[in-house]
Amino acid sequence: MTDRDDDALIAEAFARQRAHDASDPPPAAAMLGRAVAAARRRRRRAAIAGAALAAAAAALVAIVVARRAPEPSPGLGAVHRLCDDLERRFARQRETDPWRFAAASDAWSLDGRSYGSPSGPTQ
Amino acid sequence: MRDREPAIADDARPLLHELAAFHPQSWGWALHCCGRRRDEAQDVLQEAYCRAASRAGAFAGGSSLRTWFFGIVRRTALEAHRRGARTARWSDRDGDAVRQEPGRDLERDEERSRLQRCLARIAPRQREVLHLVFYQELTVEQAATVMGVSPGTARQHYHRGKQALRRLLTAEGAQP
Repeated sequence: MTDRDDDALIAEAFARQRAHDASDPPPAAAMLGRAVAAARRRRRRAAIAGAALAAAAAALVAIVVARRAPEPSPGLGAVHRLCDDLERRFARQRETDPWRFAAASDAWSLDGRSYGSPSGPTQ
Repeated sequence: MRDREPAIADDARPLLHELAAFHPQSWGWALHCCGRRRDEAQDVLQEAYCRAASRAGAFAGGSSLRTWFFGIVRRTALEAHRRGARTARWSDRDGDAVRQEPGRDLERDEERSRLQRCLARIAPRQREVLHLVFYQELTVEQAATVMGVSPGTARQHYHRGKQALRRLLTAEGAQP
């Protein structure tokens, strides 16, 4: 038996197998349709995961930057500003609801400055 | 986000359209890679199509689309085997499957069964290269690309496999 005869014998056996397999393959359209849908899902999932990762990275960077930056000391000036603000609010409330403020209890002083002096009417 | 979806699908669609042209051959290759177990071959081929669609941009065109896709099918089948989903031997299931099909010409079934019995007795690499060359009608070099081996190695498997298969087919044919 020559090499060519070998090839013919084997090729014939495989051709029979091929003809048999080709007689009932699973439907190509359905399989390929599912593949397109799956690819779309995978990419969408990857995009969502990427966005979440980017957001997490940004938050991490913000935390690191905030921790490294020197914290400004509020100082006495800031406390005075806060007190001035409180004073203004109290004054407004004294005008609208004078009965709630007693003369002595509203006054206090800080660093030589006085606040909450009873300027509103009392009864 | 929704605006981008049609573009994603369009990216994969031309490739899948081309793959559809040789769907019967891919099915034959998936059957071979899964030891001719039909259900497993269908799962593997489906997963391979999904992977091809996801990596549509990865096909550079250096090799033919068929050899590229056959490589994906082969790797997918190997991974499925590694996961141990099926442990049945290559030869056993096939023989049964061929014999149990109703309404087929018994003589032709017996010839196919004979080929499967003989193939089951040769080395997997030899079986693989013979399938790619004789069933899929690829060149030995293309078969080497699919198998991920050098052309020289594939040629060696091809010649040894051919000799072994010829010997087995002749011996089976001589039996009463």
